[in-house]
Amino acid sequence: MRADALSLQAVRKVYGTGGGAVTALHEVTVGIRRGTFTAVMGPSGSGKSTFLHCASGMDRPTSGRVLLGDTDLGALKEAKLTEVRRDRIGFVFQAYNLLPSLTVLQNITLPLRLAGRRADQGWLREIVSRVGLDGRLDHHPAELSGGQQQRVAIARALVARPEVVLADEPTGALDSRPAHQVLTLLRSIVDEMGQTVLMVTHDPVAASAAHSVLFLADGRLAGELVSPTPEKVAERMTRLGEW
Amino acid sequence: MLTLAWQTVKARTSGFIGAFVAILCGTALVAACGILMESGFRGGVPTQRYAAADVVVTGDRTVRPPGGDVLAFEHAAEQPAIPAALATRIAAVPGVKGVVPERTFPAVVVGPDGQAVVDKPSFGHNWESAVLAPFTLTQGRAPAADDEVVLDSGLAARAGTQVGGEVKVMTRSAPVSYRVSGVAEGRGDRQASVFFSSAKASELAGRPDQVSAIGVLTTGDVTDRIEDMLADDHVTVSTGADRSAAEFDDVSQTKAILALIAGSFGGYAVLVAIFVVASTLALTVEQRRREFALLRAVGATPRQIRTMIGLETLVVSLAAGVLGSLLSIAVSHGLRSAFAAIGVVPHDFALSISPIPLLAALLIGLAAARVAAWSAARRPSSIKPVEALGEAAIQRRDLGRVRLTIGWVLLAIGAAATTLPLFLRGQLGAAMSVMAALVLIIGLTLVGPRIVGGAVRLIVPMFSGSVSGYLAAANVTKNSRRLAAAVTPLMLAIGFAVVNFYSQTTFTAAVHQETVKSITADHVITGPAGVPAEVAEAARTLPGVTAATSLVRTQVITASKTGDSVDVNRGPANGLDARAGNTVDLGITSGRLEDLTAGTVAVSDALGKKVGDTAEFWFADGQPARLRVVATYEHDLAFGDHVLSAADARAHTTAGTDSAVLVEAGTTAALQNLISRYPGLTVTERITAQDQGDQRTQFLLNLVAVGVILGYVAISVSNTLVMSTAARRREFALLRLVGTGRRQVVRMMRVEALITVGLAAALGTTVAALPLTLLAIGFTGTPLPTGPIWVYLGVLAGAALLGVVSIAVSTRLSLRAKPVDTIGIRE
Repeated sequence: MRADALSLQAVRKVYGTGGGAVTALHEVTVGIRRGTFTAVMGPSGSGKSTFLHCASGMDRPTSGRVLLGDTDLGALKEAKLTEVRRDRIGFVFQAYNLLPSLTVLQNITLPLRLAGRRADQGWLREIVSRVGLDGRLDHHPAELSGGQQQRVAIARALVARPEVVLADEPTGALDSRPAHQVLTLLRSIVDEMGQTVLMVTHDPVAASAAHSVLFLADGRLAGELVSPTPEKVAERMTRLGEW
Repeated sequence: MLTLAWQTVKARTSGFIGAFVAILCGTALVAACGILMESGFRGGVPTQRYAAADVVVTGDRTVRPPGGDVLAFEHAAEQPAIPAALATRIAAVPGVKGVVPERTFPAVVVGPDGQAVVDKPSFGHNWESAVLAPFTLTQGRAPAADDEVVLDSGLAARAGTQVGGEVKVMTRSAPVSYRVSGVAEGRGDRQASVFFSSAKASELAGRPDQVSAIGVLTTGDVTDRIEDMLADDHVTVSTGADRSAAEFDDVSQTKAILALIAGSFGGYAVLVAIFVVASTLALTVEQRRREFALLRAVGATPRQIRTMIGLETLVVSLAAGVLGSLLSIAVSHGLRSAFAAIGVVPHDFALSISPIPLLAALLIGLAAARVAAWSAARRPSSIKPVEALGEAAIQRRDLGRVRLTIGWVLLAIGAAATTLPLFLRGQLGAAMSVMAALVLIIGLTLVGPRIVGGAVRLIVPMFSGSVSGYLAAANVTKNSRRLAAAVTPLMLAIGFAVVNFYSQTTFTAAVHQETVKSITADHVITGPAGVPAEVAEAARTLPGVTAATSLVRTQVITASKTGDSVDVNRGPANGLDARAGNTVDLGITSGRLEDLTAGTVAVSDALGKKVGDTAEFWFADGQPARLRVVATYEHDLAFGDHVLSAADARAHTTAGTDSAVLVEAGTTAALQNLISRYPGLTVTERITAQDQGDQRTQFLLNLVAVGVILGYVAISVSNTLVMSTAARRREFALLRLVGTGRRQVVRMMRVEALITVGLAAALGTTVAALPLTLLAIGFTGTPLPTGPIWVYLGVLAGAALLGVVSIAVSTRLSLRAKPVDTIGIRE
């Protein structure tokens, strides 16, 4: 088994063609080790969203390889890639994460249902209690607060026992208190459950919840910070330019 | 997956209302057509003359050219007679108790005021046939002598006569006096009946070896045996409600028309329903792009998205379809009443309702929704999951190349087809014009966003003055796809309505114009129940009269082979005398009208025949004709494609009378003197145009059909507009939050509505103008279509009202909530 749950090898992404072409990522190579919580930071336009899209298999790099474990995502056809994403990657968005017509429980088990599998009741109970949603399983998303919705999204990301959980600004739409709860939750699933989490954010406080922070600038990797604190992250960001 | 679909439908009721309404109304419309169609086969009115006859045998009115498929047939305009000899053969069938031949001929009683009693169809019969009803004598006795008659009690009362009295009866000549030997009571009062002695009846009917119908009294069910025995005799064996078709000409015509009209109308309805359901579903699906992107992001495959959309549609269409099928019973009764009001269907005609059309419509509705869902789901299912991460609701990418190509090809075909009326005359040319417009409309629908986008770029600079105008201009430019979705159905409705209406009025005008030009007689004799054939002969002998001719308006059925299929058509035809002189101007191009004797025919140039060729067709009563062509002519709008000899034309109608007598020169006084012997006849200077193959009926039917379909389109147009406006709640909220006043938003939407309606009016008019102009040039020689302008203005005003009101109401509703609350609502 490889030590890296997820690795990007010389990933380049170009949008558009000809004179209007914009290179969002320049030959980025990085490995995310199993059981770590990594944050990706960078100023606006640094390519962090593109980084996440490519890493998650939602978008295909122009060149380079994305490996999930030993699987080369670029080599997969759309349907197969969707299956891999569904079964082996969990994803948490910034907001509007849930299907309004489904209950909390239905939202959480949606990936399993799409895969045609039954939920492992024990595992389901465990993640539900971990994200603190006991007693709310029959509610609809509209009846929940933003923080609770985000925790539902995390539970959904975990339900298929993925190899890696990717989060895109998971606290971006939240106030500081619920944001803190979400970050603590993400950290705990790494520390206590051995999950691998990769999170994109522009908030130094959020980034400091991670084991290490990768900095991106102009589509290139611009360093790494281990055991970050909000102050150290902010200082690094200031040097990278405005964020 | 089904639970997922069901949950979504339950939770998003409002989003599916549009599709629900579209499918509901579509199914109701299609099922109603089905009911009418079935009634065309199985409906009828209570029988009057044949109630006591278990089985009635009449001539088969169906004309089936050899080599045609199952749909290649026409319904003959006249009831054909059958050989009297069949009666003996039927009597030999085991189980037959009695066989009664019936002779039927026009017989009008002259009332005490000297006027003909023609308030309802009036026919003469042989007294033996009275048992078929049965008519029973209430007074007096059966007619024994040739000068005795029995009247039905209603007729006796209206004619003011009683047993022992004298009554004048006009059959196919001047009125003759008869003695009333009895009065009989029958059932029903759709027709008046005059009974003659057997001998007199066969004399008056004119064809001693032929009868109109044979009534059979049976013990047990022997219908099949009779049918089997007469299989090769070209007869119809009727029982039950079908007997009314054998009895009443209007019922028979109605049934033929209903089957035909409901078929073509139903076909339209299915097309429109598929179209409307598809566009509504496409809109519903489009508005849920983010939801699908999210599903994709959490691991749904494109196929799963398609399945989900399909299942959701199934849930909605099943509910809507079942309700719509039930609703159709009311719709079909409404249509029946409308048809009765315009005189296409007798007021007492009863619909025949069975589960078959309801089920068929339900299945068609489900299938239409399935097809629509498939096409609507194609794009969103391949949506990139990344879109779930984005913030903005982006417009879809460009139109598919296949769709554009098909659209342009259809436009080209449609444009080419609009020139057909320049070469093709008659009803066919007019029909082609409508077809061409339909093809143009469908093509325009496919390339719609392209054209709307182009048009928008042209006109938006005009609106950029005010803030509202500026915002509206930006909206329609950026979202030309959304605009096109609103413009297209409106455009379709306008174009469809205008083409349908004005092609008919233009054609009618052309026929009228040519008729007036072609009937050059100085005097025209007409009568409410036709003109006896002897009148024309008598007119010729009047001093000063240089020529006179019978004019018999009738129909013929023609068959033409196009490729592998046989096309059968019923068209107008006229019967004329060879000695017509200058009373008519056929526009003879070869041969002579003077050669038109029994067994010959003159044909229009459009048929491409030469003098000496043989013309093959069927007479009005469905009898085959092989006649030598003696002349060709060009005034086919006034005379139809076939001019027969008057004698031939009369011989193949039930009435056996002339429609009019045309007289050249002579004095009105002499003619007045001549017709004074014939109650009801009048002399005029002008003649009205002949109905071109039930043309007026067709026109009114079209009006009803188009009206109903337009009503359906209107529902779905407002449906679409309301849905697409309501989906912009967040946009409105955002505008208000950044400081746009409520009234400015309303004004902005008003400008958008005006652009929508204006574009629809312009495109709809254009798509209608091309075929109509060419039709008018081909038929009337002027580029302007004929017809009242108010219909066009009314259609435009209706469309404008529909568009503006739908958008305004939904805008106001969307603005009702506080912007701060709305902006937080998830899409």
